[in-house]
Amino acid sequence: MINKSRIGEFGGQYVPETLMHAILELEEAYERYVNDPDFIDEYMGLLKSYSGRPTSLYHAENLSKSLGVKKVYLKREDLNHTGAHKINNVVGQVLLAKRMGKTKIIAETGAGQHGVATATIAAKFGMEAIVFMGEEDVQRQALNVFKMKLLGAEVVPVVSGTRTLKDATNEAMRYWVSHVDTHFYVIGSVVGPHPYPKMVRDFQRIIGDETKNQILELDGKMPDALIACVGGGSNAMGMFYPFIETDVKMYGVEASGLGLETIHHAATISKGSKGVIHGMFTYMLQDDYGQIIPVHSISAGLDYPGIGPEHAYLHETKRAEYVCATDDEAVNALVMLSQTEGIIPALESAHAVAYLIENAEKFKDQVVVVNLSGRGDKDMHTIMDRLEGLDEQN
Amino acid sequence: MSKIEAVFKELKEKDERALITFMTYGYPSLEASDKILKIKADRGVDVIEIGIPYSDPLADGPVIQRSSSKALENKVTLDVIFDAVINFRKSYKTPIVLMGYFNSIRAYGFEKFIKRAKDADVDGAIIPDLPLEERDALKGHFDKAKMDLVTMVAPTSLKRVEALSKNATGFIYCVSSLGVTGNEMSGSNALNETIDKIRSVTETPMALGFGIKQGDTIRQFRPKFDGFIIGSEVIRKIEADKTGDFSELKSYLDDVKKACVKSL
Repeated sequence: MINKSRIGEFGGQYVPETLMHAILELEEAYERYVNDPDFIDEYMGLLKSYSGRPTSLYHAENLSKSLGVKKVYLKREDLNHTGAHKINNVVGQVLLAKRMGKTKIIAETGAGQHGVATATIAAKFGMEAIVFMGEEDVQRQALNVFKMKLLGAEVVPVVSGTRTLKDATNEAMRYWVSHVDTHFYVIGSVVGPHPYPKMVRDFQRIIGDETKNQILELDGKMPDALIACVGGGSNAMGMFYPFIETDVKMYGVEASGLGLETIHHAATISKGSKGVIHGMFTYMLQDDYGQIIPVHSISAGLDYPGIGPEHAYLHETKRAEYVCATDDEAVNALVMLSQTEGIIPALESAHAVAYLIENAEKFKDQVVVVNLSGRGDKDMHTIMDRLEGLDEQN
Repeated sequence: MSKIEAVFKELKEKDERALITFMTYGYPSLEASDKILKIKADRGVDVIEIGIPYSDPLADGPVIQRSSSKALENKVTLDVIFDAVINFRKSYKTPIVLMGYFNSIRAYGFEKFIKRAKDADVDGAIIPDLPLEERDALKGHFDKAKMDLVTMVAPTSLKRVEALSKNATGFIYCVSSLGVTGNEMSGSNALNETIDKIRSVTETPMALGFGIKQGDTIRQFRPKFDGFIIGSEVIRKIEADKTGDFSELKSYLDDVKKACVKSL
């Protein structure tokens, strides 16, 4: 019997009993509306009129020439309203929340992009939003914190644990347990208990669906490869999912931080093992006793010790390959893309670009689509510090 | 009938209620925990919950979170806990239930866990992030070993009560309110309905937990429950201790034990 809360052995619903009713209610509502033409119209309509979709599939000629790669396309999710792909999912979930009669929403956020998207859509629909963010991320993504508050959301800095995304997620779940009757939890990535991974993937697949149509129009055929950065994995899953049944190669790029040989990375698939985190059975970074270990990445959005269960499945079945880029490589990639194409990517997205740059030789005869999941405004002071530090060294 | 169920039966015959208290093993230290185990047993705690410290206890509030962090600093693992129980068992027969998150047990290995638990005469476990939908594999192991995998029921569980209560053994953990451990308890109509439903479906004893602090709360809910679970408030008493004597904990336990023994 197929267990619909799993993909392969991954997924499931490992949450306190207090949440089960809400989760089953959500599952029911989701099943009801996912194929409902009115719901789909409203969802697509908003993404078009409010977020500016479809986003461009841009042929980065300069970058291609620079790297000696046949053709590099950038899927411009950075051009979405609020500056990242996160809004695709928030629109979907908030429309669902509305239909379920919820007027208050909870979100967790790493880089702040999901938080900002949540605050944005909450403002648009007159809902109350409370966003949990690790204290370390509050510092390194200050621009986004201010934006969320400006948009009317409450931002709660989380000071427990490592004070980053996993801790924000813990706190958001605790808050949900305490407010489950009144609040809808908008998870920002393809993680968490079923139905979240599936639901978020379905709301992000517009990325891959558009890409497929666009590339056929531009090139007349499928690309050779897709590259996307992976934290929880929503932008990658959104890009990959519509291509799964094809022969297109897929590369998910995780953050190897200061290097895989150090303890300072967030390379869940490369260095992790199977276990349960945040309600799901998936790959995670844990010690021998099942304790979750602290992770590191210069990018707040990739600084997460788990990964969506569907990515775990794509890895197990070898449908997608999971690779890495370091902090330094990501910073270099950000600078290179800025100066080669005049596009400043988010540090997260820069990891995808970095993998292409570091492996250009491999891709030299290929048509590659890189998912540019977000823009880099939020990362400017991190980059400033980084580059000024280097200047001083010189 | 499991040892836990037998204890409840015996108490019921005397019109007493079970006092169940929680502690995080290794907080504030391993020695202190061994001492606290004995204090609890001596003070008549009927079932002792021993918390397995975890890095990300998402069903716990700040009090238990703090105790968990400290215990991890003291390098507490399941092996350390099993050894502590074996030591405790040299002088005490009090039923013991381990409380922890699923990943700790999964990482340890189900079979190894059951074997060590049986050897230490552990009576069962409570796993807050393992709902009905995910229990089967582990429950099979517990049933075979005649250990109780405690079922948790919440105010939001009304529609699931039958499925939840059906194979419940030991006792049913009734979560008092919406929230994590240590939150202020809020009386809930949903809970009353849920309790009545459980009663109509099963004879398994029911214990109320989350947010219980005073003997008065126990007295208030005595008619509806067979036992009472106190976690965060016990940890607060331990936190408050400055001498290693735990006198505040001792008098607190006497207080709540009294409320469990007599209705007045």
